[in-house]
Order: sequence, then structure tokens, then C-alpha cells
Amino acid sequence: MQPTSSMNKEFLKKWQMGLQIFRPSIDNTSVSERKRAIKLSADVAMASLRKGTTCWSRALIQKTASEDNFLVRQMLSGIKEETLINKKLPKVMCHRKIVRRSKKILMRRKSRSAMEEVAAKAKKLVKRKTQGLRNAVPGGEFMSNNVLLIQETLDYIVSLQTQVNVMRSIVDAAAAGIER
Amino acid sequence: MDVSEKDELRNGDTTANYDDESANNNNPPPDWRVSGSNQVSAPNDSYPPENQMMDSFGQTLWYDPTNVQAVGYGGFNGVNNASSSSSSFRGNNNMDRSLEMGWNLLPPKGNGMFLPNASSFLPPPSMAQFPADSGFIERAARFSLFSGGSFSDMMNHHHQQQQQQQPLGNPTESIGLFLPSNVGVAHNDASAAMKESNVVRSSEQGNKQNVPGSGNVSEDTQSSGGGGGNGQKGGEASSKGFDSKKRKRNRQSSEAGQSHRSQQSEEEADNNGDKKRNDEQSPKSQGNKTNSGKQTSDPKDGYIHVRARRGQATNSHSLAERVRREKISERMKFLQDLVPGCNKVTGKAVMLDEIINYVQSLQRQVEFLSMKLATVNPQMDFNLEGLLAKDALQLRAGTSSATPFPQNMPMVYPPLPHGFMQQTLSSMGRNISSPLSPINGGYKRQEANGWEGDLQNVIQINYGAGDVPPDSQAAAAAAAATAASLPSSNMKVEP
Repeated sequence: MQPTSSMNKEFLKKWQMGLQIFRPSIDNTSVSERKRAIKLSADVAMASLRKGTTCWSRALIQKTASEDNFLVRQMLSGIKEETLINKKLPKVMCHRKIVRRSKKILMRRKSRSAMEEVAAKAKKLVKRKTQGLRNAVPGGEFMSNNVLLIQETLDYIVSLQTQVNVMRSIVDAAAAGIER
Repeated sequence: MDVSEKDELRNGDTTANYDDESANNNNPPPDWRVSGSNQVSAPNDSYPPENQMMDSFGQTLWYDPTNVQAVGYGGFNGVNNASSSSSSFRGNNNMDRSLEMGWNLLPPKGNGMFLPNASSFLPPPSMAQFPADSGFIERAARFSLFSGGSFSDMMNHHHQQQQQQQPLGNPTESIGLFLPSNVGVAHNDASAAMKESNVVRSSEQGNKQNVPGSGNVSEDTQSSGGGGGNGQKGGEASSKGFDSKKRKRNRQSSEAGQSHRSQQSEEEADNNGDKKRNDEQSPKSQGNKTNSGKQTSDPKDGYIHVRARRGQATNSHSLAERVRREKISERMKFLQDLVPGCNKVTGKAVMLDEIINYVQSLQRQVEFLSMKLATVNPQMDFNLEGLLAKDALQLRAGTSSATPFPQNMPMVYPPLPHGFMQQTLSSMGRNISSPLSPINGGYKRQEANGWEGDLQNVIQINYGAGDVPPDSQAAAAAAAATAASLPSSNMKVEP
């Protein structure tokens, strides 16, 4: 389940495409500007590899589009707009204190057994972790169930690995070229 | 892990019936070898050696042999339908590969229906490396449904097409042998309810779908009669009875990337004496239509049927929950392979923690690498490197992918900071002593605590001694490593 060389190549191609778009605006001499450009194009390239099939790719594209619409539109010319839109989940606004209080009361009312308590605590922990995962994965808030979340995480991890591999090899090549 | 605990509870609940479950886990392969040769007309050259492999697979991935899940083509319908694009092509590859893996798992556990469960892992990520075609997927789907033509024909056809492709190509042959062998086995050894249940299932499917092999037909009739009779007696005839089954239906969504939702579950009074069938649904609607020999009760609108285990609540909700839980645990297993260092970890919370850390570290690596690229190459002229890097990419693809961040840094980056810093000094011509200091100065210590903690962790992992100053300007490897890690930590602060 490692990124394949074909994936690497595709990512590199798309990334180059994105960088071409930024090259004319070479006046962004500040490091952070360039870094932002590089990262944006890399992210869009990574997301476009999935062509809108996964939730995280769509979310990533949406995020990029908010910063640089032109780039996104150029690179994703082949993909329809509808596929790129995530359906937002209805967010229930809960007052946390009230919720916590009511949960405590409920727990008190229920009969306690050692196993139940342990199970409840474990569930809480898992819930918290999944929430953390949702924050980490782009578009995690749109994934309605845990199954989808883990699927997307898997895919996202593989894509990230591709991205990191390609970038690292380019960095190494660049460094090697410089030292010559 | 929650799931595993509950599995054991379940196993414990069913007490004596499941005593020799573990024994059964090991027994089938030898039995097959014995009886497999008798009945199958399909080529089974590779069959005996496959048993060990399947056994090992089964041991690792199958936790309840009688757990019949016809679940699972989850939300992959849309993805698989979009077979025109290359990415979903690869998605199909994954499906194929995991299908095959699922097939590997099946025989040891004697459950023909596990396939979709195991296969419903990951269509989008292109984990497999072989260029499958949608025809193959269809055939593989047909496999799982035991339908559509003769089994051996499918096997041969499949095998020919797949010969050049996967290393797992061979086990599929053994799958073709699975049913008939199980039929024979169950016939011989009536004590194993698992086999018996397989017999019933396979026999019924054989009845429905004309499984080839002359021995099968006679076996089917016999075993179906035997199975039916046994079914009624339940635990009497064998140590294990049949599970009380219940069907659950899910509507499949055809949109791309949408996961499967279980809307309702139907309850069917399914006595032990009744015919038990695991109805499988191919996630692809094409597969549905083309599977001619499907069970009659299988609706064409894409339901997934699940059976309740023996001794389990047949409440629709709990069944749905169990299906979901098992889906999740399958995928977590995949994640274990992907995330380094997760093999020893058990328990959802810890694993999720690891996964989160890994994702975050990968993201930080990306930030850091892009920053490095920005500084190394002011012109952003990467074309030449692109050509050069292609060879490097070839090499890299074979080696392990992004290893955990801290471990990599000292190895890869010590030479770089030199050129890194010199480059910045020369090209930018500013009085930046290191590329890090502006960043350091730029950000106030809002994240200082977490940042320091990060740094501490990194250092501890790397060196065991934590005596490195936070602001790294030195060219020592240690400092270089910390320098490498610093910007990444700093990157986190950046909006």
C-alpha cells in the first residue's frame, strides 16, 4: 500500500504544471510567498490526482480555491464543478456546558457497573480521537460516519506519502545540483 | 481493542459450541488438501501450497469464522462506476487486490461470503499496482456471488487474464476449489458446524448457480438434505449450530465517493431449519445485472444482506451497528499496515492517536519541504530537477515511503543545511544568518509550549539526550536535525 512510481510521476507532472502558473509572477521574492506557491501547487496536484472521487480531495481543492482561484481552475480544467462540492453536514450547535451537565446526570442515573464505566470512558476517548482525526484530515467535517472517515484517511495518507516522496527527491536533487 | 474484546465475548457466549473453533481454524486446510483433489475439476496445481498462505491470512484477519458478513461493498459504488478515469482505475485495482485478499481469507475460514467484507477496503487509493480492467472487476464480483457460469470457467478465464499481473493470482484458483472441497469436507466431517454451514451455503449456491464439477451436483443434493436436517437439529448434530440469520438491507448510493448507508434492516424469520443463504450484492450495479444466477430473493436495487450471529441480538439496530463496527475494524487494520509502528498497538484510541500523529507529521513534512524548496531555488526552476528526479523517483518508489519524520531528519538532511544556508546567504543577500531566524522572530511564542514539547519529543526520539538549543545555527548533525525539525514545528504556527 505504498505510493507507486506512477503516482509519483503523475504528481510531479501536475505539480510542475502548477508551478508554471506561478513562475511568471516571479516577483514574489519573499520566501514565504514562494513557499506558499509551492505548497499550493503541490496540494492541488495531490488533490487532483483523485479527480474528485474522495472527500478530502474536494475539500482541499475548496480550500485552495479560496486562496488562489486561478491556479485551481487552470489545473482542474478537466473536472466538473459539481463533483468538487462537498455536501456540508448539518452542524448542530450545542452548548457544551449544558450538554456535559446533562450527560453527567444521565450517567448518574444509570446503573453503574465496572465494565460499563470502562466502556463508556473508552467510547469517549475514541470519540475525542475521531474528532481530532477529523480536524487533521481536510474535509473531515464532511464525513458523516466513521467508516468514511477512516477510508478517506487511508487515501489521504497514501497521497501525502506520495507528495512527501516527490518533494523530498526534488529537494535532494536540487541540493545536489547546487553543491556541484 | 473494542472490537476484539467483543468478539471474544461473543465467542465466549456461545460456549461449548465454539470450543473447537480455533481447532477449526487450523483444520480446514489439511482437510481441503485431502478432499480437494477428489472433487474439483478445476486445475488445482497451486492449491495445496496456497493453504498455508490462506491460513496465515485467515489467522490474522479473520476473527470469527462463523461470522458471516455479506457486507461490504460500502460506498464504493460510485467510485467503481467511474472506471473511465485512471484514478478510479487504480481504485478498481485496489478493489481487485483486496478482493483477492478476501479470497485468500475465505478458504481457511470456510466462509464464502467473507469476500465482500474484506474487499470493501479502499477503492480510491491505488494500492495495487496492476492495471485491472473493469471486466476483471466484474468477474471478481461474480466470484463473490458464486454466480454466472461455471466456476472453473471463471477461474480459468480469470487466471489467464490475470496471470501476468498479481502475485496473488494463484490463490484465486484455490477459491474455485473452495466450494466443492468444502462440500466434500463437510460431508465427511459433520462435526464442524462451520463446514456444515458452508456446506449449506455452498450447496444452496451450488444449487442455484450450477457450480461445476460432477461431484458437486451429487454432493449438493446430499449435503443440502443433510444440511437441512442438520439445520433443524442445530446443535445436536454438530457442536455448532447454525446461526440465526437475519437479513439486512442497505440501499446503495450511486454517487461517487459516497459511502454506504444502512437505512433499514429487514427482519426475516429465519429458523435453523430453513435454507440459509448469504446473499451478496455486488456494489456495482453492472455486476448486479449481469449476475444471472443470483439468488431469487436478491433484489436488484442493491441490498446487502447480513446475518446475525448465533446468540446475538437480532435487533436491526444492533445488527447495523455490528456491521459498521466490523467495517471500521477492517479499515483500521489497513491503517495499521500503512502507519509505521502500528502493528503492536491495539485499541482504537491508541491507533487513532498514532494515525493523527502520522498525518500531522506528514503535513508538517510537506510544509517544511516546500519551505526548503522555496529557499533552495529562488527561481523556482524545477524543470531540470524534474528530469533528474525522475530517476530518483524510480528509486524512491521502491523504497519505503515517508518514514516518520524525526527518524529521517538526521540521515537525510545533514548535508543540506550547509548548502541551504549558504544559498540563502548568497542569493538573497540579506543578513539572515539562517533561514530560521526570521521565522523565529516572526512568530511570537504563542505556540511555544507545544513547540518546545514537539522539539523535546523529536530530540528524545533521535538522540535520547535532550540537550540541544532550540535555535539551531550550528552545522552539527544534531543541530541540523533540530534545524530541520524546527521550521516544521514553526510551520504549524503559520496560518
